[in-house]
Amino acid sequence: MRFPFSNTVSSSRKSHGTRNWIQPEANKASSLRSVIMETPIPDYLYLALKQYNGLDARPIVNVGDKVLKGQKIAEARDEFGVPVHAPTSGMVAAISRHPYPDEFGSDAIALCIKTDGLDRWIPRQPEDDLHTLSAQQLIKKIREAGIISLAGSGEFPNREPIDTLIINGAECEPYVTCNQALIREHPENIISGAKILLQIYRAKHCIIAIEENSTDAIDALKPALEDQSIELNLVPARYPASSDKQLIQVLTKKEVPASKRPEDIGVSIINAAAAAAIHNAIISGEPLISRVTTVCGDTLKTPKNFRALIGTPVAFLFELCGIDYSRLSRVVMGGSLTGITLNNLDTPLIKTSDCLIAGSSQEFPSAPTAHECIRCGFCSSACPVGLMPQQLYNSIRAGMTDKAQQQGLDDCIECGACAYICPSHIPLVQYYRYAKFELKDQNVRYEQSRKWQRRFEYRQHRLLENEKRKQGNRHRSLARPEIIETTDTALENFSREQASIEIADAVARVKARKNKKNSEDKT
Amino acid sequence: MTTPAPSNLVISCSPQQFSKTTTGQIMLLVMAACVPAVLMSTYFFGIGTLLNIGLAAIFALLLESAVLKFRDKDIRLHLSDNSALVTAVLLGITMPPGSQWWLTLSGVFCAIVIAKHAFGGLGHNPFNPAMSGYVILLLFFPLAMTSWHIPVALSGDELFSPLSFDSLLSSIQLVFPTLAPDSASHASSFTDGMAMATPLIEQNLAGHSAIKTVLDADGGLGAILDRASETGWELVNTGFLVGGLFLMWKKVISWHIPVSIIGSILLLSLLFYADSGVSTNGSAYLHLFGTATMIGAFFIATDPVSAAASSKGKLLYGVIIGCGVYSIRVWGGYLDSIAFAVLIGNFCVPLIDHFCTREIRH
Repeated sequence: MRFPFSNTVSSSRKSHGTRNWIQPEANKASSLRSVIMETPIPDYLYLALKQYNGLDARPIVNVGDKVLKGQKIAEARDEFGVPVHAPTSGMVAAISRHPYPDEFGSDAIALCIKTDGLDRWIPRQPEDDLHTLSAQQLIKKIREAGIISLAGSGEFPNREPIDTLIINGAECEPYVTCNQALIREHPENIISGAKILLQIYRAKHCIIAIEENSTDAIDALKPALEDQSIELNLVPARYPASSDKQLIQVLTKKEVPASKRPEDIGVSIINAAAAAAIHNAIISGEPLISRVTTVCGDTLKTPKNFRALIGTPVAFLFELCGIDYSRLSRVVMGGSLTGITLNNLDTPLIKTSDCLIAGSSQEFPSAPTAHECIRCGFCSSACPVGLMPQQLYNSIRAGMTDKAQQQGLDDCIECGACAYICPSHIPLVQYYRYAKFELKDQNVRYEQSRKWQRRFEYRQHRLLENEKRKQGNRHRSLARPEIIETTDTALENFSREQASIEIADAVARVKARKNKKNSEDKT
Repeated sequence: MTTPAPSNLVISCSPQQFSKTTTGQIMLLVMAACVPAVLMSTYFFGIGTLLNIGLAAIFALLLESAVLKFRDKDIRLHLSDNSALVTAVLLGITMPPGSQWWLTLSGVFCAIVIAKHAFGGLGHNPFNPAMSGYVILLLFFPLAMTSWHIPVALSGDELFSPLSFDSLLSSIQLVFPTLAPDSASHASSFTDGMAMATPLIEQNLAGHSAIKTVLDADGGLGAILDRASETGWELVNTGFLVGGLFLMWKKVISWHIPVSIIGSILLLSLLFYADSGVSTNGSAYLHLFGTATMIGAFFIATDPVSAAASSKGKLLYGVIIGCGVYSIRVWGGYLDSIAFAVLIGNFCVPLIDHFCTREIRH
C-alpha cells in the first residue's frame, strides 16, 4: 500500500503472502542502545579485491607504495565492477591471499595496507551543483566511488526505465541494525542519496521502506521527509520482507518473476546504506571506504554499531566491544538466518558486511539432530518464493536433483526460513546448496562433452570435405586447389557458428536422402 | 595484527538460528487437543476409552522401541518425536471401549510395525498408521470391533453410573477377562447387557439432536450432562471439534482438510436427506455430530505424513474423504466409514501431490 507522506503514517497492510512468514526473535535491542561509533584505525587493513559477486578488481598500486585515504588502489575489470579505495593513509604492505568471508571459508587476494595513523586524505572533489550533471555522469561518479548496493549480492542497478525507486531501509533479519541506526542518526544523508538516485532514474515514485517496529528510525525520518516527494512505507516485521524481491512484492504488489530482475518490471531497489554512501560520494566527494556494521553477540560486553573502515579485521571490532574469547563459539557475518560462519578472526570486513555476531554456545546451540520430515507443511507456508521445500527435500534426498530443479530449486533464495521453522530441524538449506552445486557440476560436464562432441563432428566433417576435394581435384586438376587446408589453419579458422551451420546442412542433406530413400521404398 | 583464533569456532551452513518448536511438541499438542473429547467420553461411557488409550500407549512405546532397536536407530531420538504415542491415542479412542488387551496389542502392532516401520518409519508411511491398524482389526475381528461395551444405563437407571466402582471394575475386567471372578459367564453376560451399537443403527438413521431435545425440555444447560439424556455422542464430537479448532488456532493443522471433509459431508447429507421419516440416509446433524466425523476430519485425516501437501491438494483430499465417508455410511456395507475413507484418500495422495503443486512464475 503506497500513500503520500502528507497523510499520517499508517502500518502497511500485510500483503497476502507475508501472513505466514516467520517472525524469528529479533535480538536487535542490544546493538541499538548506543549511537554509531567511529572506530580507531587498526594497524593493518586487508582489502579484498573481490567485494561483491563479480570479477575481482585489478590492483593499481605496488607493494611498498604509499597510499592516501580515498586513493584508488584497485580498478574494476568489467563494466559492472567497482574500484577499491584505500580507507586510510599508509603503505601497501603486501598483495597476497588472505581469509575472505564466504560460505566456503576460503582465501582471496587482498591488498594489505599498513596504516600510518595520520589519516591523510587525497584531495576530494565535492559536487556543488548537482543539476549540471547528467544521469550518465552521476552513475559514473557513483561507480568510481566504489559503491555497490550494500547488502545481499551487492550489485548496483543499471539505468533502465524505472517507475518506482525503493530505498530499502528495512532489516528483517535478526541481529542486523545498521540501517536502523543509520536512519536514526543520519536520515538527511539517506534522503539526499535518494534524491540523487531520483535525478538519475527520473522515477515517478520513490519509497523509503522501514520495518513497522523500528519506531526511532521512523521518528527520525518523519520530520526529515516533510515537503519531500519521497514516501515512507512501513513493512511488516516478518522475515524475509526486506529481501529485495520480497520487499518489492510487499510494497508494490508486483511480483518479480523468478528469472527476471526488479528493473524488468520497472522497479529499482537500493539499500539505505548505499543511498547514504551515494550522498557521501557525490556531495562530499568521498569514495566508499567505510560502512556502518552491527557488532553484537552475547560474548561482547558492549554490542554496538560501528562506522568501520572496509578491510578491518573482525577481531579488531570484537576487541573494541570487549569480547570474552573463552566463551566464543561461533562467529557469524551477516544476520543469523543468512549469515556465514567465519573460521578466522583475521577475516576483514567487505563492503557488504552488515553485521558481525560473536556468539557463545548458549546463544547459538548447535543444530538439534534432525528428525524425519513429517510433511507438516510449515516450510511451504514460510517460503517467501512460494516453493514447497519438503518436495525439494524429498527429491534431493532421492538423488533426483533434476526433479528438484523442475520443482523450482533455482528460484530458492536460500533465505533459510524453511530450515528455521522446520520442527524436525532438517538442514534444508544445506540440501538445496548441495543440489545447486550438483546441478552446476552436471551442467559443466554437459557443456564439456558438448564441446568435444562438436570438435569431433567438425573433424569428421573436415576429413570428409578434404576427401571430397581430393577426389574432385583428381578429376579436375585445376579446380580450387587453394581450399585444401592443413589441420592447424583449419582449426584457427574454426568458428562455432560456421561449424554448426555446416553440421546442420549435413544433417539436412542426410535427412533429405533418407526421406527420398523411404519414399522410394514405399513406392 | 594477528589474533590467536580460537580453534573451536563452529562452521555451519546458514541459518544459525532455529525456531524452538519441535516435532515432539506438535505431537504433544495433538494429544492435548484430544483431552476434551476423551473427558466427555469417560464421563458418559466410562473409562473404557481411557483404558484403551493407556494400554495402546504402553504397547506402542514398547513396540516402537523394539522396532527401532531392530532397525539400528537411535531409540531415544526417535521416541522423542512422540509420533507413536499419537498413533496409540488415536487408535485407543477409535477402538471400542472394553476391547480385550490382545485386540489392542494387535491393533498397535499393525499400526506401528506394519503400517509405519515396514514402510520406512515416520514420514515414509503412505497410509495413516492408526487407521491402518483399525481397518486390519475390523477385517479380522468384525464382531469385537463393532460391539461397544458401554456400562451406561441407557434405560434410565441412574444408579448405574459409568464412573461408579462397579463400572470401573467391570471395564477393567472387560479388558483383562482373566481378572473376572467367573470369567467365561460373567464376560459374556456383561457383553450382552452392555453392548451398544453405533448410533447410526441405534437411531435408525433418522437422527435427532439429543442436546436440542434436552434444551427444549427446559432442563437447562446442566441437563446436557445428564447421562440418561443421550447427549453423550454429540458432546464427544463437540469435544473433538473444540480440540480441532485449538489445533487450527495453534497452526498445527490448516483449515483445508477439516473444512473440505465437513463441507462435503454436509453438502451430501443435505442433498440426500428427505425429512419425511422415510429416508434412511441420516440427517446432516447426525452425520456431523452423531458419528466419528469430527475426529476423522480434525485428527485423523490431517495426519500430515499421509495427507496431501499443497493447499489445493488438501482440499481435494478432503473432498475425496468426505464423499467416501458419506458413501460408505449410506450405501456401503461396513459399519465404519472414516477409516476406509481416509485410507482411500491416502491412496490418492501421490497423484494429488503430483498434480497440485504451487505454480512458479518465470
